[in-house]
Amino acid sequence: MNHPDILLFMSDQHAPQFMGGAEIPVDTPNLDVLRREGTSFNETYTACPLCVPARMAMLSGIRPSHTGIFTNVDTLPDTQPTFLHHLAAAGYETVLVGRMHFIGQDQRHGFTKRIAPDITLVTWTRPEHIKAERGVFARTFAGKWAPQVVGGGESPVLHYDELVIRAAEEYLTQSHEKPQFILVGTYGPHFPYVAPPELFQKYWDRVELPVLRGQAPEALNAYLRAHRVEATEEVARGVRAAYCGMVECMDGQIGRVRAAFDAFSAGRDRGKLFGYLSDHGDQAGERDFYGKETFFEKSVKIPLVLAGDGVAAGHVETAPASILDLGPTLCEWAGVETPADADGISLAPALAGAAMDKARAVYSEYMEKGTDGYRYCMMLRRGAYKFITYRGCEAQDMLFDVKADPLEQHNLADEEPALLAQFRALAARVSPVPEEYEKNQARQARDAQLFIAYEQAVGLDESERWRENPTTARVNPEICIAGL
Amino acid sequence: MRPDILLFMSDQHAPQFMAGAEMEVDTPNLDALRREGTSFSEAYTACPLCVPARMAMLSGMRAARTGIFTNNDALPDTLPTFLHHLVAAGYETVLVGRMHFIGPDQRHGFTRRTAPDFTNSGWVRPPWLVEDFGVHTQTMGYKWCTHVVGGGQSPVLCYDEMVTRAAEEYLARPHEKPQFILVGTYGPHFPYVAPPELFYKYLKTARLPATFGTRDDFMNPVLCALQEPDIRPEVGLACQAAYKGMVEHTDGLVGRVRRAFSAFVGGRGTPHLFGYLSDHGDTIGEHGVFGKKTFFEKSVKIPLLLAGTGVAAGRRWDEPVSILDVGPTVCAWAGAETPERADGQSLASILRGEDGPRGRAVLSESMDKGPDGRWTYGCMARRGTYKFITYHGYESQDMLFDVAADPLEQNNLAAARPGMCEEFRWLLRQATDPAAAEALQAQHTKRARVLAAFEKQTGYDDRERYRDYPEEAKRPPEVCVTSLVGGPGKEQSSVYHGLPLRPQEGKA
Repeated sequence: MNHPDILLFMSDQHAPQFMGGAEIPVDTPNLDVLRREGTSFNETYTACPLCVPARMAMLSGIRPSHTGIFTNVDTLPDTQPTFLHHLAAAGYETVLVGRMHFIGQDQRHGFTKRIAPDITLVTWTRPEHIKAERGVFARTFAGKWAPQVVGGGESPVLHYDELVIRAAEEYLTQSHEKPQFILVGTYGPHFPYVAPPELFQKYWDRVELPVLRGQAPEALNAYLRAHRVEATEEVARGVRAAYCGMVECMDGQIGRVRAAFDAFSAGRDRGKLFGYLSDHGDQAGERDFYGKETFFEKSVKIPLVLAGDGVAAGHVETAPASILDLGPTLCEWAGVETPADADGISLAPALAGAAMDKARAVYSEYMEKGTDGYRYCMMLRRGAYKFITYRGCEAQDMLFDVKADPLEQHNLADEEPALLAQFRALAARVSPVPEEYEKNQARQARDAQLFIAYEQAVGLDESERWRENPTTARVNPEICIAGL
Repeated sequence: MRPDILLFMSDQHAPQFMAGAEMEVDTPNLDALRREGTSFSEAYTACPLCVPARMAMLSGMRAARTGIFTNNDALPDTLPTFLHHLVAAGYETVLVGRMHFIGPDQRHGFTRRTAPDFTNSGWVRPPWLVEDFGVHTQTMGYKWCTHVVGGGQSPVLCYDEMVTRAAEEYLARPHEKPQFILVGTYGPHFPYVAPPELFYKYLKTARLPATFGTRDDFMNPVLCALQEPDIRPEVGLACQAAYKGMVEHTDGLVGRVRRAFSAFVGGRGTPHLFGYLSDHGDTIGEHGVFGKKTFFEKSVKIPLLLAGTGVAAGRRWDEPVSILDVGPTVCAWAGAETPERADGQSLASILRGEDGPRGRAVLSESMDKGPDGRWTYGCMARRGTYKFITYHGYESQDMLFDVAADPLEQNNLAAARPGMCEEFRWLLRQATDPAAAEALQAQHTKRARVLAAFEKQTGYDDRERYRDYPEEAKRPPEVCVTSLVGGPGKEQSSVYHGLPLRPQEGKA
């Protein structure tokens, strides 16, 4: 039995439209090489445009409405196996280097070891001291406040990612007996919007202002309007420059990890597979949205590129795919049992160069919270079309031809009533009981309060959270477009 | 001031084995508890098996809602228990001993644990179990429970002594917060080994159950698969003697813990509540079944006795209640919020001496593999004096008993009372979905297989299991009615040595 070594590099919040040769060109030589040498899934969607739900959906292979994980304070039950359990049961060592955004006492969920901590909360409770550790960046990890500190310099994210990359490099210089599944999880290009100064400067001179900035938001439903943040032209430009700079910075890290992985596997008598993906994207000012949490392309699409022994080189798969497909794909590729209840499908045939089903419908889900409680919303992508609906706002359903209109400026809902009806019927089949998802979410929010009370009673366990952000990364960046 | 609460939870104690009950056992401490408090004579478990009964009690949810039907299922760590509500109200929630948690979460709302569990805490039994349990490695399982029977030492008796001492020690120290303490012992769960003097005592009066070795026509294939028809009558008598001896022994432990608790709350001047219950019973050969897993009264009924500040003394409530009521009752008594998913209801008004819920239908559920290897959902409903039992796919053998007139359930009234059967069937159709429960079970079985395979590859976490047994507990008991041939292992069988007539020289 020759299971290949597998390494996945998973960034956070990287919209694939920001890349070499893409809509917003960024110098990403390492991703370019990876794409040339491997297979890219160009139409891949996250299962939920938010960190924890996207990641837990990826690990379990189960969509958010079936696990009930829609927010960053929900977590996977310890009784739910992930694809990592399948890999480990087949003899793999499953190694987490860095971030996965686990909440609560189970910080493994099938990883047999972890060699670098997480950057975000590992507890249900938000500890008071996190403010001091993050300094001016305390609030900038959330979209609403991210544009408040923008520029070039140091940030907690840049320091954390360097720590993760070094841990990965070190792990890969050691010899390991079992077949390896290694997930290297970094936080960039997730905000705060601060890039290394030279990269910030480079893109400040290059970027254009985001489209649809400062436009009348009448077409948006109330939930979407609430996500808008008005920023000055200078700040919007700074955000774009910083985001592009962070993407280039991350590309360098991918190159380092890939080189280390190649060196590691050169001495081993097994195949190898290297992959790159992110959990969701970032609109970086488009429509005045900073961050994710919408179903517009830059928020909901993810990069997914795989290269290695037996993987078709330079192949671009344009059939829609999902982050839910990752577990089934890797398990099949590794020759281990595939998770039984997975909502995704295996993309292994595409890796071998076979064509995938272009008519497949892929969905993504999200849970909005308004003043009147939780509201379920979802999108469907099939063929060139994308349908977006928010329960209670059906009059503002959206239908876009994302091939012809990638910026989603032209809502076809009124012009294409037949198509709209088809998508609505499909949505009702895919998500038959949205009210139940909402009720469950409300119940879980109350549960979270109980887990917080429990944590306070027994004491917070923060042993898996990175707390060493240097003091130089707690102040406004040296090139400071916006600061506190 | 919030009351301090202590629950003593034994394992597998059928309330018919008690002073003044059908099967007379000397239980002076339970007697005192009944006199001084309120007892529930018709309390049922939610599922007649350890893990499902206990997880139903903690979560307050029926087995079919959590999908926890076997000892290989675990409560998700994301599902709060009634303990979380007590913690939120300021309680320290202390587990002393057993709760039979499976998987990495060994707390589920307990803020601390001061004594380990008896059974394994992982998805698979560690291969070194035989080092700790010796001849008793398999005798906690119902297929092998009659293989080592007698009077002497056993892992269970040692474990329960350790737990009781840990409880006494904990109660001897001061504690700041209001206390919810659960003392969990394993007795009178098999192996059927009692202290020798108690074994002798009850062997004298042992008599075989009326349905020993019988096979009534209402026994469907799932129930028949649980029967052990080849047990010698003498072994049946010895099991009963050992069981009664273990019940009397457990009663002594209840007395010790209650005295320690009284001294503790006396010193603090706090209001208090002391309770005794078990997770399910044991039929000990009735209907040919040893252990639980059936809906016959001795398997599915539990003792439930509560006494303390403000609790009506000497009151007996004889309407059906459920183990699912424990969480809502304790939370109400403690002034904590009631768990919102709870299927049970608070019995607090009854404890106060007021009226309580009447005319309820109380459900219990099970999941077993029939002879065809298919997961089969079973359900019982008790309302008034009647009990209806049905198994999915075996409805032609539905059972209806008048448990007041026929406590040994020998007379199936299903054919004679079709109208009442239809009422029960209608009621169960509203409350249950057998096919959905079976599908959930099949899914959980698949998950458990993956988690077990993971554990085998990555090592067993055995930290929360007690392992410190003396050699004499791993050997056949000194008064030995049956012992192993071959094994211990799944292929073991046993040999019968004869019934001892009187204590040997030099023994008490």
